[in-house]
Amino acid sequence: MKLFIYKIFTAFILFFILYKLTIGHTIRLVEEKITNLNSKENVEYIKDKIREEIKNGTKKETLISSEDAKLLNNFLIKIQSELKKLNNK
Amino acid sequence: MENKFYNKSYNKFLIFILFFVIGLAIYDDYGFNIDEKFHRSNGFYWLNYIAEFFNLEQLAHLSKEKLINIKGFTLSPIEHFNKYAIIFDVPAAIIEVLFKLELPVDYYQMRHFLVFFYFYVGLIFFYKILFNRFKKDSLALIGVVLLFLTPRILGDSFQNLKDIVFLTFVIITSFWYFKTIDNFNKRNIILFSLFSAISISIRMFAVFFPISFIIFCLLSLKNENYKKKINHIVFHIITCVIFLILIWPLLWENTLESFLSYFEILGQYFGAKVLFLNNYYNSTALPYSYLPVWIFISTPILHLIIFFLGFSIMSARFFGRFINIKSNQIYNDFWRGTNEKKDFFILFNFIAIFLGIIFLNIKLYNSWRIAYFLYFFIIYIGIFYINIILIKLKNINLSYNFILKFIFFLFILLTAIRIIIYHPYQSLYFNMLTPNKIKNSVEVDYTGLSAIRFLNDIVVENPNKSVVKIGVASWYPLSRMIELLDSKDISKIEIVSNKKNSSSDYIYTIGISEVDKNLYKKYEIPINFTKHKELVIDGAIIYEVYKKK
Repeated sequence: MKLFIYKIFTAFILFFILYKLTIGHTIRLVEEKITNLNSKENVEYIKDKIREEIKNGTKKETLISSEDAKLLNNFLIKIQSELKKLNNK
Repeated sequence: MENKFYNKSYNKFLIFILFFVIGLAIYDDYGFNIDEKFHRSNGFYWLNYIAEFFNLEQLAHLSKEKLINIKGFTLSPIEHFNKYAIIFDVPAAIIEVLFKLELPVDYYQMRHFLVFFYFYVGLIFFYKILFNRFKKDSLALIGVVLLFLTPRILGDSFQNLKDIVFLTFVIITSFWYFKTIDNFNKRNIILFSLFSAISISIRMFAVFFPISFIIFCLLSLKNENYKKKINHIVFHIITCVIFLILIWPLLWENTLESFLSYFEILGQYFGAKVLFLNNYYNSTALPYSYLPVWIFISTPILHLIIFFLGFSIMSARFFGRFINIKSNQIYNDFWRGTNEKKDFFILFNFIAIFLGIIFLNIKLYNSWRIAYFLYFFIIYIGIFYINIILIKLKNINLSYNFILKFIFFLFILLTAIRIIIYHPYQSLYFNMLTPNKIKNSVEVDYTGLSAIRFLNDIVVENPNKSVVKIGVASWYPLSRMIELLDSKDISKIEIVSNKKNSSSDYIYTIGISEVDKNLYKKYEIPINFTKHKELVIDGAIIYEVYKKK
């Protein structure tokens, strides 16, 4: 009985350490990444990045290519016409 | 060196007197710890509570007055964070009242000396515990010298009001555990319970004492003694709970609810990021390497060598015992005699606590100060190795014996020299093997010990300025240190908020941040500032000062 208890206890400890070093470690990494995603510094980082991109964009002569400009123009006209239709009803 | 005027037994008195004199000579050299103000308020909060509880009106009034005057917008509200032990804070508050200490420098330096006094008592018990185990005066003294010459412990013994006090009580409790091994009677169990309770009230880590007491009792259960052992286990648990309630006023009312509230608060402490090897981590999700790396880089080489050798021999011995356990044997399964039982107690607890901290996500921050009590186990295991070497040395030739002893004392001397180099910043010690790159990729002056030096330098540097504006590019409340300046200089210093750093005259940084500085540029130095000076010790940057162009 005594030997059995020792074996069970040892097996449990070894299993726990093995689990922590493998699966537990991976879970911890994923948890850390998720926590960091909505952390204050990450939000600040994204804000800074957006600011930086806007700054860089305003410095350029043309922001979007002529093809994209046409596409956006058509898209806005389409939305406008649909809104007008809705108001006339 | 033995004659009719001098006896070898005087050595211990000489060493202890020397350590006391050193403490007395240098205790006022140290900077001030960020936590000291909070602990002062904790002391007066509980002194007031105790005085009111026992209807001591004058004391209640005095302590209330002192408590009201402890202010600071960055200070944690004591009514909410009132879970700390009183074993240091209340005696310190009583001394402050008794000696009518009114100046901040005076009452904080009194606390510095008091922590050293606690540590000194710890050293005495460390001597007693080593003498109890090894029965050799010289070996016990070597252990005491090694503990005293542990730079981070020595440095902290003049300003760390929590971890050093805890280390002391861990040593005292272990001593009484050893006494229960020698003589399993009620007197020793009561004293062991008392000190276990005090240690638990300081840090919950200390529950390992009752737990290991129970495990060790169960491991030595035999048919003929099981009733006595079970009775003693129950007796220990009951006395431990009673003492815990008695020495922790938090538990005097609504005991269970108050005890549970302690755990709620634990989660609220330190929600910041921890810098470790240039990456920022949540304090509950540190890499497994955090504690081993910190121990490796901040412990003197001599301590590391003897610990690793002692640990290998001790582990091999108990592993051998473990694999040879038979279902029926005369001896105990894990030890032969009381000395081996004591060694097993140390090894078992060291491994359990070490792995527990690593794998159970125990919050660590500010280097590894929370686990500094592990130094007790580290040095004990080192002394275990020295004991083995000394036994072996008896059988080898004299010259080899001399060389080994010479190398050992050379290492001791080297450690002492490095302690002098770091003075008074031994708390920020790194060993010789640690490259500067590593030193500056972890938290160094996390309690702002250097702040008072910086403020005094600024005052000297600007004798004619009526106001000097200082910004702080670190997660550190520099404003707490202003009261420690000369009264004529206090009005001279104005601390500006982090957002207004660019309008200040100087910016002080100790590199500590609660957010990931790689992502959030909260503590970035404004472009109109240049580096003015820095304090670097042994390659580790303690602080940097920037000045407006």
